[in-house]
Parts: sequence; structure tokens; C-alpha cells
Amino acid sequence: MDAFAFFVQQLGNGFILGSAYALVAIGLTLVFGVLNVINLAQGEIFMVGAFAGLACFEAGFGVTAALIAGAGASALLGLLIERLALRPLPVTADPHIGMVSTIGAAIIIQQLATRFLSARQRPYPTPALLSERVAIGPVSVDLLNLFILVLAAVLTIGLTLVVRHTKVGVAIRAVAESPRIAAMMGINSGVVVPIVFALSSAMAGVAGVLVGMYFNNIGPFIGIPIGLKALAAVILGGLGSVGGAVAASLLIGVAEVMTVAYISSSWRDAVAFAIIIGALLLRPTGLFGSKAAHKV
Amino acid sequence: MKTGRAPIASAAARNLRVARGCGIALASLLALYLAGLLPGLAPSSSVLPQLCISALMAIAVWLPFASGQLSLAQGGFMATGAYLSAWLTVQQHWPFAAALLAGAGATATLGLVVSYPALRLRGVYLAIATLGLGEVIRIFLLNLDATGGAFGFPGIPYHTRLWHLLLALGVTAGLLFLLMRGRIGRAVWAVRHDEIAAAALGIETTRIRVLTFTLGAFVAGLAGGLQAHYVRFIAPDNYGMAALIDWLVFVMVGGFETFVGAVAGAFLLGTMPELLRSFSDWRPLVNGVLLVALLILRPRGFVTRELLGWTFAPRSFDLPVSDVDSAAPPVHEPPSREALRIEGVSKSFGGVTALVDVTMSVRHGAIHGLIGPNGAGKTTLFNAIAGFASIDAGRIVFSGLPIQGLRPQQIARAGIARTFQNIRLYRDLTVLENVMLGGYVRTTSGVVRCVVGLDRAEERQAAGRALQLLRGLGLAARARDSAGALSYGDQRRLEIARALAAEPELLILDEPVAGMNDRERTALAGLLRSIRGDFGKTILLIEHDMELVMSLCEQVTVLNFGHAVASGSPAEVQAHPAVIEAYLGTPSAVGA
Amino acid sequence: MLQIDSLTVRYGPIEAVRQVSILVEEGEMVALIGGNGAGKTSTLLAVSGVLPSAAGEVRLDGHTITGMPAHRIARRGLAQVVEGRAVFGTLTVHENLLAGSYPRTDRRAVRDDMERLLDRLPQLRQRVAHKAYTLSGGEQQMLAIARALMSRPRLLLLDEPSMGLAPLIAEGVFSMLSELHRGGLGILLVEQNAPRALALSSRAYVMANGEIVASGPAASLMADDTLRDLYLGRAPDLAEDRRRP
Repeated sequence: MDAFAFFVQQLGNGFILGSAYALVAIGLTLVFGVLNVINLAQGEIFMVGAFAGLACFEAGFGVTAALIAGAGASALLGLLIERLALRPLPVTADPHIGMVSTIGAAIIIQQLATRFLSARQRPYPTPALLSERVAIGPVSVDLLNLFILVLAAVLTIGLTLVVRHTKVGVAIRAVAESPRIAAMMGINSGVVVPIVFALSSAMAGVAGVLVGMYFNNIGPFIGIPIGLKALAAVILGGLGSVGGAVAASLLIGVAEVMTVAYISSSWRDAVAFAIIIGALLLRPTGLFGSKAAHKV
Repeated sequence: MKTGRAPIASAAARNLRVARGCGIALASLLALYLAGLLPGLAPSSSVLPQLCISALMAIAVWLPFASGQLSLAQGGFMATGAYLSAWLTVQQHWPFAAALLAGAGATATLGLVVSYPALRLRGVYLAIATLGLGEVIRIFLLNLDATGGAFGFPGIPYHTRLWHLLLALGVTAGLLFLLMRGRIGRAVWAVRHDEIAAAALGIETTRIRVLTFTLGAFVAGLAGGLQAHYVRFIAPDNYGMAALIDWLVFVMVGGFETFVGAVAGAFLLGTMPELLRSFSDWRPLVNGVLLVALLILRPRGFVTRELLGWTFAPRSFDLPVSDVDSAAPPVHEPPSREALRIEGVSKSFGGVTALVDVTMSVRHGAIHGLIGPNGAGKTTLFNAIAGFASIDAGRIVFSGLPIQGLRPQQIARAGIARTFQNIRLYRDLTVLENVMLGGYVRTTSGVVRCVVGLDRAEERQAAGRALQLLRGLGLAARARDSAGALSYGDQRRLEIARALAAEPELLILDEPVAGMNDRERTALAGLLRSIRGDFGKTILLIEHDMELVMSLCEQVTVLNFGHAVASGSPAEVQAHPAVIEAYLGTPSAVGA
Repeated sequence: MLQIDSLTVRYGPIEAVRQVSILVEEGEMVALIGGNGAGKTSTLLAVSGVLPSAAGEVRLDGHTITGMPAHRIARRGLAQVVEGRAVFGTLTVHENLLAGSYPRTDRRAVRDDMERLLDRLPQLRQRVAHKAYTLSGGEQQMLAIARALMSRPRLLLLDEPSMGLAPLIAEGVFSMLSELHRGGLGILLVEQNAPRALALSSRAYVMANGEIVASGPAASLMADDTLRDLYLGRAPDLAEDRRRP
């Protein structure tokens, strides 16, 4: 394969990895928007979704069922976390406290997963349906890769449309700005916040199934690096900015893959972080972060 | 008019007693356990040393956080200290103490260098950037063959004894106690809780941040070196996310208001794995559950300043020698002397023209009002005078000194003090502590003097002056109450008291009577007159209350759409057609 | 229509509102005046459900609403404009208005209402797609009121709508309130500008230290000298002469 084709292929892989990060990152940034809290359990939610999908596959169901299972299991988990680890905290607490509470939740989930799901890596199937290659113009692409990209794009765009153009989206953004005033408009933040949590967790769950299919294995510790990268993407893109989270995720995904391909896999994370540090020094509130909406 | 001076809230007092009781009980239990006196639960010999190291790292994480910077690079800093000191003892055969200090010193230097770019970032952005830095360091070490790379660095000589660790922890705690209880501690708190107010009070926020960041790196490097020579084998993975999360949790759960919280968190949460040894499999799960539960019960962390009974003010004061001093008749300057001159000042930002060629003059010893419709540029002008906004053209001259372009801290030192439209008090500090903060520019104890305890005399004098100021403003009885508990009117007076503590020549007040009723306004007007008369200050204020302005101010300047449209005595200004038009619309365009 | 009965609100041990009783009949404009810290804002917040009440009852149209969460009270026809305007800064003017109409399901009527409000407030129509934080203080106040009206409330609670506004702009706000009242909207107005509030209202209550210390027809409160001196401000404002009650 010539150098250019290799480059393009790696670029594509970077986009795929990046779009998986994006699904996780969007959820993080949305939750931050309405709760002013960084949900550090998002990586574990991702992991649980992946396992739910695996269970579906092992029970003989297909891709659709697995994706739905992943989304559903993660959404449920997200709702539990919101109810048990975040809602009981007083509104006036330092915002870092909520974040640390999600750390606690993450520890609990991970321990339970290691105990009841699997203590080690498990193989993850790629459904036969998606195992073929398809020719697009001069390039032949794995159908799976295409599927991942398209699904991620559809979900991202769909969610953005919901947030920007629907009444529910207005409610979400109103609660993000001031739950108290929103309540005076008849908007119940006790309903809006769990909805946002469920949506963001469902996206992470779908990402889990997709990543499982892509790498063909899954383990209980996969949540940590994914969560970290997604967090980095959210911050690089600017807290609260969905577009920023997506752009930054793609950037990180590509940087990672390129580093592995052209430098060495042991420097992979270092390069990603170096880019993040550099970008933040240039734009201290993230690529698309707004200085007006400063929280924390 | 009393709006209800709160009796000691019995529920809150009871909670405090319960928390203190729990704290003492836990501490005693812990002491017994560590001394091996708890039946059936004998600690292994490595428990206390590990706890000391964890405590040092918790302090290392706490230090930058105390000034508002969450730095997650501390793992990387610990690794730096560990690897450097280990390399020095193993490869270069340095003596332990020298290697240790060199490692910590180099780490501190790294911290110092990093702290400057770090100033550009805030909150989570800083957290991620520092996390990235820590990871970059770790990955660098992973790839560094000279120290074993991913295989780790073996064969480090066993130098660290328990007494080294206890000494290091004790000295660190002691020095921090001395440092944080007075002027510097107040400044650190101020920077963390409201940077803008801190700048207006003359606190060099940059220096404070760099100080805490560098100290944090030093402690981390020290802990790293000590640990390396205890466990004798180090590998880059020891300094990753898992450890970082532990330290962060220690600080948050233990209490992030003081370093005691960090240490308490490290000791209590660090001991739990040992105590729960019989449940070994379930330990991390229980840890996670406990973490969430503790946070819900005490969201400010277990150890708070209140729990310890600590305050940033000394217990005893030296009242100023003679009352006459501070009530000295003002120096009689010739009435035509100018305190403040604004010449041709223009400012626009973001396409909005805020100020256009504004010229005005404030006489020394006058009370000068600045009025104008919303959006006329009054606050922009104030911010320009106070150093919070730059100007595009013109000069601002204060007592003959050009001050345009100076930073807020320099303006404060030059003798200008301000209050804010939205009241920027430190609500969790007491009335007295707030006023002592106001006196920051008039005190000089720096890090060194605080740490060796030579600041006590100055602190007592500063407290005395503060108390006397409070007496003059009728707030002395509330000196030990927290500022957030005061009524609105009292909070405004407190903010003025704090501004006066800086002993300024010029006081600039942004809407000082907003939200007050008539009686409170009259009282404040009287207060301002007496400040001018007794203390010899010049006062410039922004206000919307026309009646107050007209009755209180000798001179009034009117701004409209960024232009100074009139300046003169209240009577002159009231009759000026441009003013009438600006404020009230032309007579024919009456609304309603 | 609105009956506040012996309402008590506590902040910890402090009683900010003590046994306050206020009545607002259908279509009436009632003023609540008093000094800062008197408890007026706390009263309003307790009525709309944002603050919990320690004792007493609030009834809207005969139904008890004490203890109901704020969003449910809002859906019963009560709207509040809080102190300091509090528009949703990052939402556009249009989105703010939409948020105000949130519980309503009659989309066409919502659109019509929005059109009518924007017609009445041309400054808002000009900025309809701009984010609310770009608006000036007076425009934000108009937006806050318009937003409250989008829910077609039968009772409007207003907390110091003229605070921080220059006299000319404040006058515009008051004239809008006057018009709304004439249109049949019940209003409970908390104001620091007591003479102005009394001029607009039929009845008024005076609060101090958390209690009601006087009440009655607005005109007689205005004429009462001692009350006037203590609570209403000694001299008329600069622009007072030009205004008509």
C-alpha cells in the first residue's frame, strides 16, 4: 500500500475512533451544561453499555438489538447515578464535590463489573452483516467502519437538532442556565436533568457497543482511558459546547491514530495531551468555549 | 433597624458539636490503631509510612487548590522527584539528604516554570492541562531507558525511615500552619474565592498562585523522593490516574478549606483499606460507597475551618495607641487641588463605543457624583480608573500621578479603593477578616516573616485598626460574625469599611445605596459625609438615586452615551438641558 | 384570587416573613412596599414555590398551593418576574419567550401571543434572534415581563421591576404594567419606588421586619405623613412632577 493510501486509511481510523469519543464526549458536555458537574463515571457507563451489547450478541440477537440494549442499560445506569450520587448533594456545594461523587460512583460500578460481569478481556463479535467490505469509488471500506461513522453522525446531528431547535431543547438550555427561573416557567428540572442524563448515557452506551465491535474485545477497565479522552475532548472543545466536543474528539482520535502509525504506540497519549495543552494555552476556555458562560 | 440578628443557630451548633465529637473519636481510634493498641487489628509496619506519604501528597494536591487551581500534575511531580533523587543516589552516589532535596528542588523549579503558563487557565481547563502534563511526564519516563523505562527502576537504597517521614510531614504541616494563619493565608483564601475583589484589594494574585503551585510541586517532589527510598522500586505506572484519584478524594472528603483536611482525609481514608482487610475483596466497593455517602453528609469535606475553630484574624489585638490618630483632621489642601483628573478618555470594545473623549476633574476632599442613564459608560469609566479596564486614548491622573493602564493592584497601592455594584464580600469570612483583608496593602509580612512567626505584631496591630474602623461604622459588635449573615445594608457598610482599611486617598463607590430604603440611604449619606470629614477622603460615586446625589454631592458629572455632557454643582446640572434630555427625554416625548 | 394567610418563611433560625396575610382580588393591582430586608422578596418567592414556607397557607383561586413545587404553581396561572430580571442570557429573545410558554400546548395560540407581544414591544422584535445577554437593562426587563405573560397568567408577581433602570426606562415599564392591569391582569407589585407603586395600585401593604405594618387603599397610605416619611421617601423624585397617576 502506498504512503498516501496508508495515510488516508489512518485518517479514516482516526475519524472512527474520534467519533466514538465524540458520542461519549457529547454526553459529558450536556450533563455539564445542566448540572455544572463533570460526570467522571461516563467511562464506566460506556463500559456497561458495551457489556450489555455483548450479552445481547451472545444471546443470539443482532446488531440493532445490541445497540438498543447498550443504550438502554447505560441510560438506566445514568439515571441511577443521577438519583443516588448527585441529586442528594446540596445545590450550594463546591462544584468539584459533585465530580468527586461521580468518582465514587465510578469506583462502585467498576468493582461490581469486575465481580459480576467479567474480570478480564472478553472477545466481542462483529456481526456478519457488517463484516464485509464495500467499495466506495476507488477505495474499499469496511462496512463496519462506515456504519460507525454514519451512526455517530446521525446521533450527533440528531441530538444537536433536538437541543437547538425543539421546545425540549429550550427547556434543557433554560435549566442549564438557571433551574430556579426555569421552574418558575413551569419547567421541572427534576425531569429535565434525568432526561439529559439518560440521553447522554445512552449515547455512551451506543459508543460502547460500537467500540466493542470495532476492536473485537472488551474488558472492565476500558472505561478509564475512554472516559479520560472524552473528558479531554470536552474541555478542549470548550465546556458546554456540543460542536466543540465533537471537533475536539475527532482531533484527538486522529492525533492518537497518527501517533501510533507514524511515531510509536507508547507516545500515543502523550501526543494527544501535548496537543490539548498547546491548544488550551492558545485558547484558555477551549476551542469553542464561550467566556460569557463561565462555570466552575 | 434590626432585621433580626440571628441567635446562635442551635441546629448548626449541634451539628458542629457532633462533627467535632466524631472527629475526635475517629482521630483517637486511628491513633490507637496505629499504636497497635486495638485488639485484633495490628497494623503492619508499612502502614504509618505509607500514610505519611499519602498525607504529603494530599497536601501537594491541596496547596494549589487552596488558591483556586486544581492541578492534576502532582503525580507527574511526584515521579520527577522520585526518579531524580533515585537516579542521584543510585547512579551518582549522592548522599540521601542531598539527593532528596535536589529532587524536590528540581521538581519545585519545574512547578515554578509550569505555573506561569498555567495562570492563563482556570478551573477544569487547568485541571485537564495539568493532567495532561502529568501524563506526559509519566510517558516520558516510560520511554526513558536510562531509568528502566516501563520495567521500572529497581535497587534504590533503603534510606527512608519512619522518623524521616514524620519529620517531613510535621515540618510541612507546621510551616503551612504558620504561613496560612495570617496575611498570606488570607490572601490565598481571597484569591481562591474572588479573584477580582482580591485584585482590587491589592493582592498580587499571580504571585499567590505561583507560590502555592510551586510549593505544591516541592512537596510532591519531596514525597516522591521519600517514597522511592522506602519502597526501593519505582515504575511510571505508580504515578498514574489511580493514585491521583486517591489524593484528590482525600482532599475533597477530608476537607479542602485547610491542609488539616487533606491530612485527615489521607489518614482516615488511607487506613480504611487496612481496617477493612477482612473484607479485602469488597474494599474498593466499600470505599466507593463511603466516598459518596461522606460527600452527601458533609459536602465541604469533613474538616472545615469552623470545625477547627481557625480564623485568619489573631485572637488578641493591639488597639491603635491613640484614637486621635485615625480621626486626625484632614490635611488641609488648598480647595483647588485635584485628586483625580480624567483627560480625553476614550474606550470601545467589541464594536461598542463605551467612552468618548471624557474629561472631568474631581477635587480633593469632595464628594463627586457620576450619573447617567444605563449604558452611559459609568461603570466602564470606574473600571478604567480602578485598573480593571484599559483605555484606548487619554490620561487618568491621580494626585499628579498618571495611572491609566496600571493594574488594579498598583491602583490599590497608589491609594484608590473601590466597592462593587454587586458587593464582593467574602461571605464565608468574618466581618473582621474581611476588613483585615482590606488592609492588605498597608501590611507587609511576606512568606518568610509569616513562616518564622515574625508577623504576629503586625497582625495584632492590623486587627486593632480593623476593629477601630468597625467601631466607627457601627459594625464592631458583629466582628466575629460571618459576612454572609449580615443584612444587605450592613454588607454594604462592611464593604465600605473594607475599602477604608486600605487607608486610601480616594474612595470610589459603585451604586452604594442600590436596594436600600430611605432610612438606610440617609444613614449611608451621613456615613459618607463623615468619612469625607473625619478621614479626609475624596469620594467618587456612581448612583441612580437622584435625590441622594443632589443632596450629598458637591460636584456632579453626567455621562450619556459615553460623553460627558455636563459637569458642575447639582443645581447647575439639574437645570442643564442636555442632562434633562439624557435622563428624562425631551418634554414632548413623555412616556405613559 | 390570591390569598396569603399568615405566611411564615424562615432562613434557618431567622424569620424573614412573619405571619403575613395579603389578598389580591381578581384583576386587582396591589402594591407591596417597604424597606430593604423587610421580607418582600421572600414573600413572593414563597408564594411561587421557590422558597419553602414554615407556616401559613397560600391559596390561588381557592386551591391551596403552599408546599407545591414551583413548576406546578407556575402551571396554575401564576407568573413571576424576579428581582434583577433574570432572563436566560444565552437563549435568544424568541427562545426566552418560548420558554415562558412552556406548559402550554396550543402552539398556534402561543405563536399569536408572541406576535402580539413583539408588536407591542418593537425593541424586542428588533432583537428577536439575539441572545438575551446582549440586551440593555430596560430591554431585559421588558423581555422578562413579556416572558412571564407568555404563559397567559391570571396573576403576575413582580419584584422591583424598576431597580437599576434609569427613570425614563422605568417609566416605560410602569406604563406597560398599567396597560396590563387595565386589560384585566391581576398584579402584585413589589417596588422600592413607593410613590410610583402607590400611584398605580388600588391597594397596598407595607412590610417591615418581616411583618405587615400597614395596609389599605393606596391613596390614603400616600397621604399618611408618618408612614410616608418612614417608608415612602421624603421628597418626590426629580421626574415625579411630570408623571400623572
